[in-house]
Amino acid sequence: MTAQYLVKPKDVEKTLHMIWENLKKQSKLRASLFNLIIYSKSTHRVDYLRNVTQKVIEKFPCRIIFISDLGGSEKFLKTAVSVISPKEASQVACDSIDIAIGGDEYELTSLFILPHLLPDLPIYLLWADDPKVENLLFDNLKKLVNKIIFDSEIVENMVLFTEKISQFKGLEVADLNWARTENWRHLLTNYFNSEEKIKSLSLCKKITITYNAKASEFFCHTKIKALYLQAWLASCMQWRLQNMTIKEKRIHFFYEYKDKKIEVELFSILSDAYITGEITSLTLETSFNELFSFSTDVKNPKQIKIEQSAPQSCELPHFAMLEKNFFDSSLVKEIFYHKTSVHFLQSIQLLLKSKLEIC
Amino acid sequence: MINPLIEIGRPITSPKPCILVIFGVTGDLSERKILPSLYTLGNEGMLPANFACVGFARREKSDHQFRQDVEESIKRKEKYIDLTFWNSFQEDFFYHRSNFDEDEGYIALRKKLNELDSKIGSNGNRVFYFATPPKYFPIIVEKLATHNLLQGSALQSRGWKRVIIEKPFGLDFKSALDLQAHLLKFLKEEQIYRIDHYLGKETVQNLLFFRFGNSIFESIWNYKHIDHVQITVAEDLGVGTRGHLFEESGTLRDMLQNHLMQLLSLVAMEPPTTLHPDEIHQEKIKVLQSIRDLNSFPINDISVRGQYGKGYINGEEVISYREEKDISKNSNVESYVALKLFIDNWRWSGVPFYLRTGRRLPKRATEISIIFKDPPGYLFPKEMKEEANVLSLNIQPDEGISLKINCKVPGQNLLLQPVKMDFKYHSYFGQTPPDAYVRLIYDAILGDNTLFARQEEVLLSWKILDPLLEHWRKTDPIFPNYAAGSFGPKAADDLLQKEGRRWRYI
Repeated sequence: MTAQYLVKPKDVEKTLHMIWENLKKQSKLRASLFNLIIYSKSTHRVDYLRNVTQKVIEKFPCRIIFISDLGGSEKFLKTAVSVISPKEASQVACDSIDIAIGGDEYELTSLFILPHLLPDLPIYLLWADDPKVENLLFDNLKKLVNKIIFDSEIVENMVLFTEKISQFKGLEVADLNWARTENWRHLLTNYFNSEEKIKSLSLCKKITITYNAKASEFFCHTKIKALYLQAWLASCMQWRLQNMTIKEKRIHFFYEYKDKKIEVELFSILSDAYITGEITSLTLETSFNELFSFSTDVKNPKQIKIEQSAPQSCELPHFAMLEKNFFDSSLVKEIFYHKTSVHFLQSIQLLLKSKLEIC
Repeated sequence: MINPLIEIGRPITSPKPCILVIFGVTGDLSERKILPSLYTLGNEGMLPANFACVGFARREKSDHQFRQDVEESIKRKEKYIDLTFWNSFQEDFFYHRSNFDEDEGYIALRKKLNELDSKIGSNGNRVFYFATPPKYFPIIVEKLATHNLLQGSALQSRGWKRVIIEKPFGLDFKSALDLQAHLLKFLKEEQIYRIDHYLGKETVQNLLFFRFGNSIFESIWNYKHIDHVQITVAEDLGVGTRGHLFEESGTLRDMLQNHLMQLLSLVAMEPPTTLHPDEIHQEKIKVLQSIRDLNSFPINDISVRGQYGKGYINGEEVISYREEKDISKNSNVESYVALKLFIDNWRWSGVPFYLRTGRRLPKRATEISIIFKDPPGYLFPKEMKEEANVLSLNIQPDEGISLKINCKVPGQNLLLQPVKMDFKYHSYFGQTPPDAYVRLIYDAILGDNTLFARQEEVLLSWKILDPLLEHWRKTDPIFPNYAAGSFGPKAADDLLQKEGRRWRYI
């Protein structure tokens, strides 16, 4: 990465040009596949978001416009530019424009960004703030962008979050936490891939999802992944939510499907061995007393042991691999899927009905 | 059955558990391509957890020694090896010593694979990779079948079995037909995966996306707008250590019959109705069926063969083909071929396709160039003849697409200058496209044969080129006829120049 140059807003492109003139000697290639605008109001998550950004450009280079909203009453807009590389030895590098704003300087920011968007390339917005909070900058940016990615980790009220998401008509949206459940969704989709297994799934009477509730520096809403996963299963299988209870840190969802009752239990553990919010196991019991168990191994959390048993028979356990974690592919894939995930919207609708608070 | 968990528009691919058996695992292809590709697939999490690789070869070796060899292969290819991953992944590699014709070897292999099945849960799924010289293909497939490794015994009747075969697939039409008939005694067509690694290249896959994902090109992709098409596959290397293999095949069999004919099919095909493999293969076959019989022409009018003499590559003197290791001093095997073809259909009527491929050319490059017809030249003075627009698809190296257009030179004069509009993969996607073998091995494990050659494509290609081989058998060439480091024989230049055209400098 080059040094960051603090510059006047009017000198942003000129300074970038100067940096690139110097980089030509190092045979660096200026690359950009899309524009990525990141907005962060929470200072303590800036490092995390910068890490997310770095992981994105490691996969695909893009022009980054990083807006840090420092709040306060004093109005200001300050800019800095740099060029960042996906990796140290990479020949390719990307423009990075940092904007620090204060005093809700949103109107100015909305206009300032416009000439710095690379034409003819998609524009994605990673909005790392609670969408329930009215924000002029958001209202202006949403008119420009192809897709908005939210970070439900930052929200205080999941119910309001899901309500807000479901109100975005005509906007393509995603949630980082939803992207994080992709590997488990794929695992279950690949496993329940025959008529027989889908039937077993539809005859399910109880599902238990265990997740790691140990909070970390950047993640405190540890149950979101588990919530999404059970909502996804329920919405795909068209289970109707009847009731939800929270008892001794266990969350129970009660569904109904064709006069059959299905209970989903979310159970938390506290572990340093797993990533915060990581799903550590999922068991599924059917009304014919078949049992499907998917469990991780703390020594190798990517490897899932799958066991299936029934009163009259059981299969030898076998293993499946969880796809590489969120940072490596899910977010980038979510970006490249231009349309909002239908499954995501269905899951959101279900969570909205549950009116579950996550804090 | 519709799986309610699958989201339309967001496909999921997931390879099933399997064991990959590589015949000829100690050979050059395995070391350079197959084993490093397996590492990449494993490290990317694209292999199933229940996976094992068994290397089958004649040399004595233990599992441990084999794993060390695999590690060396990976280190030669990758700048950085993830040792944490490798230390666990290497446990999935096993070695099996046997000759290819040894019955006891196959009996022991079956036992080993059954044991692995029980241990890792691979459910009897097998991919057999024939990374050997083609002469061993018949015996290996026969032995596999004899020892119930293909169809499965009563004890092991479950699981799919696939065979990956490297090119060349036969040495001419008849031998290809014989090989095909032999394979079909033991396998069904859908079990056979004929590798043409060019089809696994991102840039080649991009051909379909480029042509059919952009509306602007399709309307000009025909005889009304295109003057001719050039397809070049150039190598700067000589035959190296593959002399003994090359002497059996020559460039036509090594490169033209497979890589160039596949590229031609993709450039010339009609839009498929879907991206289903069957639809794509069908359109490619139609192109091959439409190629005019080479017997319609005097062969020398439409083809040139060559063999390199001494010369210079990158400023260093190099020896001639006949002086290379394992090459006969009187060899008449060609290291260069140029060919003109016509596709007789509505889209390509009258448009010549010029194909050339050779070794010891000035640089390594694979390029498809669409040369458009000149504009009606009445607007600018004759002295300022516009250059034809050229759309170039650079397959390798420097993967990308460029369009040559004419622009006005800034200033008072009315001067035209050709310029290039460029798209480089590297600039936009910021990463080197994955090796073709990574994609192809993954697809074979997945059971997707889109990027593999079907029997009709292979046989048709041979049928088209057989007149050339027949003619060459009857005539003695005067070799060598081009210097290493040049663009090939003068006769190849004449092939185009007599029609007022010239080869592009690649």
